[in-house]
Amino acid sequence: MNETEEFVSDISLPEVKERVLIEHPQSLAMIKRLKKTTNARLGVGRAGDRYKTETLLKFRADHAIAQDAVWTDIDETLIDEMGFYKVQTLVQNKEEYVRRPDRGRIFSDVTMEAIKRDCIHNPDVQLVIADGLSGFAINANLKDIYAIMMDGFKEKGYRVGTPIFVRYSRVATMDKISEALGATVTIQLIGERPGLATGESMSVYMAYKASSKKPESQRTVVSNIYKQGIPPLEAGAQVVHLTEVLMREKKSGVELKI
Amino acid sequence: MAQEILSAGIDIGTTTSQVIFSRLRLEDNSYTAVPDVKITQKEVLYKSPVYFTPLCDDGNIDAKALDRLLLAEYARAKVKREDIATGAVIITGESSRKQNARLAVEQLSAAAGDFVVAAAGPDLESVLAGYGAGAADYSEKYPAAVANFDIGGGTTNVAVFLGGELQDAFALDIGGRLVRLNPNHCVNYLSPRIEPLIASLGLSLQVGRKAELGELIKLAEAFADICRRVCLDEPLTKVEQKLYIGHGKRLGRLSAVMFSGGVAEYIKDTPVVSWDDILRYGDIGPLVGAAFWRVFSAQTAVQLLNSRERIRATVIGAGSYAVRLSGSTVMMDDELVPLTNVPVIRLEHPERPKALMQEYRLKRAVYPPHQQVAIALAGPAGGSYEELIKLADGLLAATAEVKQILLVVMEQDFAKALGLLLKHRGGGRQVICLDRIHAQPGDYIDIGKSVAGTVPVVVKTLIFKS
Repeated sequence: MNETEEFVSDISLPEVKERVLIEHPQSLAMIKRLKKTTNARLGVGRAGDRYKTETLLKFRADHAIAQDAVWTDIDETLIDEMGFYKVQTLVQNKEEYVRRPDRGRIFSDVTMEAIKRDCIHNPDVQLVIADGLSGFAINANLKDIYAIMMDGFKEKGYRVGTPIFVRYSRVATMDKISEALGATVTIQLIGERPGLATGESMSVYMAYKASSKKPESQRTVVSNIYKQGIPPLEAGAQVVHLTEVLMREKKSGVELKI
Repeated sequence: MAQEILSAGIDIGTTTSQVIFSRLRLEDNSYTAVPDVKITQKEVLYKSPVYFTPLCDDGNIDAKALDRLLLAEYARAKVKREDIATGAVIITGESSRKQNARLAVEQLSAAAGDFVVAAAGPDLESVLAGYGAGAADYSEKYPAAVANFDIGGGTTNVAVFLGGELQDAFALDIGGRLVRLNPNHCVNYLSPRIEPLIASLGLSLQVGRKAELGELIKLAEAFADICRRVCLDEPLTKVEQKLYIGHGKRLGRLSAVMFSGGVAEYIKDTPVVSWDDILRYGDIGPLVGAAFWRVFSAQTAVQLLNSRERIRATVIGAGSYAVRLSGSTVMMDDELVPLTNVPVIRLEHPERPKALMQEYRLKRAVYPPHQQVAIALAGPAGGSYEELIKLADGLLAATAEVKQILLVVMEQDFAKALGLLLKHRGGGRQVICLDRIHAQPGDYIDIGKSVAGTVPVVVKTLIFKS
């Protein structure tokens, strides 16, 4: 790092958005209070009828984070550390993943056979970890949410199946895996489509006897899981609670009135 | 998904008592499987008349007469005791210092049961009046701090809000009934609390002697001027400072005020001059109200706001605002509640198990061993699994010998996770773990049965002057 670079602030940091850019506001305290209620870019002022340079740069930086989240292949170091079983959908690369959602929902016959051969059958709880549209989200939240979920399942005495990591995965892969292994409750952790607020937000989809013959409405969802949203630990505890509800009610998604 | 609950507010004051019933609407606004329940509507269904608090000959509260009065109000409001889900009984003003107040409340069958909140201190009273008067709501739209002065018979209770949040609460021995008069203009009661002030003003007011109207007005104006200087952060004399109950003001200048309480009914642009006005209640309330109007309308440094409620501010605050909801993801067992008057121990260093144990033992020792206590925390700073495990194990180790419920209230959204770990690692311990609750040492909390997945909690701040 040379001397001039030391003074260039990182525009992509979330706290940059907290700044009020309106010049001479009547009440700075009021704008700050207002800004706390939303992630929207309020109180940014203007230059003529356009954004100020800082606002524009921040917008682009946030968009770049979203782009990176979508286009970067997931770093599988953590997945390997945790010893998950790894498979891949029919998709071969990121470009195909984005263009062909249909291929991101299914596996080859070989993969299906391998899953059936290598993984625990008829578990109470089957975990599926999917990169989805943000591998960053998985790496940011997986460790904490997995640890607390396992404590919870142990406490309840559930038989947990082989955790399966799916690369280039859409949500519906959980149905295929559930069918192949005869799981009672299938839980999928998947990276959310990044917005302009964060690239680290993860969702958990849950279904009772998930099946590709059932509609999308079979799924119960916990979304917005990241440090500033629902903390992964609290989300994990809620997933344990919901698993209990799904087991007891023998249904999930819109059929379930929580 | 919405649910409605009935809440009762009962205010037993130095001078007057009232009841209100209100309906709170709870709504879950989440669109996923994580509930987000909030109180979306508060509607006062019934306001009782303002009664004189029944007193026995010895000056203590007549619990039986009070109970009859309250039961009659339930009947008149067509509300059944068992339909009330939550609520608060507040003993306000000077009577909170009367020894039998707490006893009297315990004898109230009209207030018996799950929702009862016992005698509250002047700070909580200030806060409830501030909510009831509308100062909290107003401050959400106002760029600076908004204060409510609730001027009652015995005390003036002040709450300061900024952006809807409570900033400060304090009380003063200023009120309309600290001097009482009989129809012959004779002083038949004079609160010992204001004797030094009367002496410093050079007034000759004395029990048994005829009062001069001019002297009463001087006293009333002194009250108002003290409050003006409190607002502006101007100095008070030593004698005046002693009027603070328990502690003084913590914040600096106040920029806007509103008034509630019985005396506030007289803070208006109609001068009180005659003895007839005064003798209607046999006290100096109307004079104090008129003095506040004169003093505050003659200055421009503090903006005057209209309060939503005057004499009913505290009771409406008690009925509609005392109850808060916990976060929506918690660890709860409805079999273990209601819990009332649980003292709070706040742990400042829960992150290190050894320090946690020491701090817990030190603070726990204040209460008898059989006493149920609540442990209050901010929450894990970083929020990692390892950190939460350490916290859970620390709490379990510190409370290992305790037989009561392990009751933890925290600010950050981690209650369900911490509760899960406490249960998992606690080997059958009874656990209640709630979040989005801010409790300070010295507070007491009440916990009700869960409603729509969240838990109604009343945090009571009890600061009495010893």
